[in-house]
Amino acid sequence: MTDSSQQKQDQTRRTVLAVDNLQTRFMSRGPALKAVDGVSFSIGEGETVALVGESGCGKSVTAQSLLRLISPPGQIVGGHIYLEGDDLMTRSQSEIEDIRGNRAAMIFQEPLTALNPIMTVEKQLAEVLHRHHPQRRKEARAQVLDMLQKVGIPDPEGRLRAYPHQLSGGMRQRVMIAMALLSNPRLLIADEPTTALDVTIQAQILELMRNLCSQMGTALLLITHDLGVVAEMADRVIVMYAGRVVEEAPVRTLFAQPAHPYTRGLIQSTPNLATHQGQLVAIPGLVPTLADLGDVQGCKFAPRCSMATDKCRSEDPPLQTLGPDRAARCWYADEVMQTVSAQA
Amino acid sequence: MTGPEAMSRLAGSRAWASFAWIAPLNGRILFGGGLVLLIVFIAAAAPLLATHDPLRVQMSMRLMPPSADNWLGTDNNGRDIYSRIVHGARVSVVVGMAVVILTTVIGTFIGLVSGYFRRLDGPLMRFMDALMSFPSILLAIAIVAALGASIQNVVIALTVSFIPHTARVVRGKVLSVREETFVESARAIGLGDWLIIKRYILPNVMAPLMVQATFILALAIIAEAGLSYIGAGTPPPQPSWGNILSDGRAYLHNAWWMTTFPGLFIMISVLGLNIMGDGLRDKLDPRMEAGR
Repeated sequence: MTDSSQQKQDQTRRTVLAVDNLQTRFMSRGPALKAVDGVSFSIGEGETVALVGESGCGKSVTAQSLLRLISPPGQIVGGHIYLEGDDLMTRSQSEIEDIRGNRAAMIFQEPLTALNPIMTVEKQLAEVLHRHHPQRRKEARAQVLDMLQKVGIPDPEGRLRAYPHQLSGGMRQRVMIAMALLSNPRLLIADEPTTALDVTIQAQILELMRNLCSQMGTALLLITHDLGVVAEMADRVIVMYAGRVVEEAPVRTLFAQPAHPYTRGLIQSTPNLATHQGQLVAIPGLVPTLADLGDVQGCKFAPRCSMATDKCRSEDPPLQTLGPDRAARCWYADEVMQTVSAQA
Repeated sequence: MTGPEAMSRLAGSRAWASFAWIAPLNGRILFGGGLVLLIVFIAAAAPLLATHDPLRVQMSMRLMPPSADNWLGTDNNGRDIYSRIVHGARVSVVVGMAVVILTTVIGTFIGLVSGYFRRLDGPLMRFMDALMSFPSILLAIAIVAALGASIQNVVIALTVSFIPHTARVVRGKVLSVREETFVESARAIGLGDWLIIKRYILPNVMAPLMVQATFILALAIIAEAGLSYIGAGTPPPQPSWGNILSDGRAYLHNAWWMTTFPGLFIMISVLGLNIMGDGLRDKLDPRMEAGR
């Protein structure tokens, strides 16, 4: 699929999730830590958007904020989360609970611990149906079986009575996916769903998620630090750094022509057998801790950026629109894009 | 003749197969549990097992040593020690059970709420600490002194003094279970706090809770005997192991049976409970399981 046809399709898609200026903070003894600092993005029906960044950049907190799963000392202090037009921030606790697992579901990183060790697969899955569709209690078993079949679990009948420890990691993650998709959610948030699995299983699980989501028209927000997964799965990519979006672009554009030095650094630090076999380039330095961020004036990435100028160090760049579906938070986005295409 | 021998062994093992459910229980659970069951049986069947009326005073029979008629001798009022011990088992078992049930229910609730809702943790646990700072038996004595000595008040006193222990154990376990991903995942499928506590947290704290319950039962039996011994427990003339011991205190030199036998019964029941508790702990501790 070329970028232009992709974009056309995007415009006709209905927006499932729209996040506007989301701000999540962690209250500490000192100043509040801005874990998510004004993040905005949207996902359309059947679309897969990848949220990328190093550990500690705010990806997971963003994901948890979307379902308002942040617990103290964390707190969502501003912004709006629209799920199919409903602002989740104005909903009561019990309304949010009705939405979780029903209209929006989540898959976690560790399938080992994400299932209750003392509940059978059937009970665990049926819990979702009982919670959200109590009137359909009788059909629960049939629906659970059907879903287990869809996620490719061999001998689903036999697995109903299995406990999580009797299943392999890949099987557990399939059960998690089944659990998440059971009530046909409009939005699926997958927080590093394959990090704990080995590579061959990773590919199967990703394939499965992509197929099921496109069949069901579910919007998929995929949180990962693995650019290989991004290239494989995503339609669009959002790159986060220090709690903010630093770049947003369709997946091909992002890889071909990153517009932010951080994105370029991420791509360069990923091994690529096809193009070059030289030494990998690491981004110098570490993600600043949230407590240090308050001190950084100007661009938060400037201390690690090879292109940083005095302007970068004194003035914080806004997220600039670079074209349809493209934006980057860098004063020199045009130069970055040019240098990369020159290299290519 | 190895053939028939092997055959009979096979047949034997098949006969044993119907007892396969015992296999996961270890020896200590069976042995300790057996002693506990014995005591419970004695308590339940006391009227049938007793050879005399435990309350009947017979001054002509004072301080008789063990004999064919009075198996464990008589006390300073000529009452049959054996019959008194058998009836006293009822008090121990009833008090013990009541204390365990009340302590477990209330302590578990406090522990769950305190561990799960962090705002309540501070106040609840400080209150528990305050209760815990008194030695259990002293606290119990104080409560009985305030309420008056009766079996019911002994149960109340012991429950109050043991609740903090159970609450602490449960809270500690809740604190670790609530951070598990499956709790977050339960939240992510839309379950509310109470449902999560009931179906995800509570079942995962059951193991240490059961072990704790057996130890509380042992402690309650000792404490009831202790309270009765100092006259703050089961009011005479109703027999309890503690007040039989207490009666015998003055006659240690010339009627050893008055103190030895009730003491022995206390020891056997507490030993049985502790052995069973140890066995349960090993059985239910996942770390021990993994080592296997």
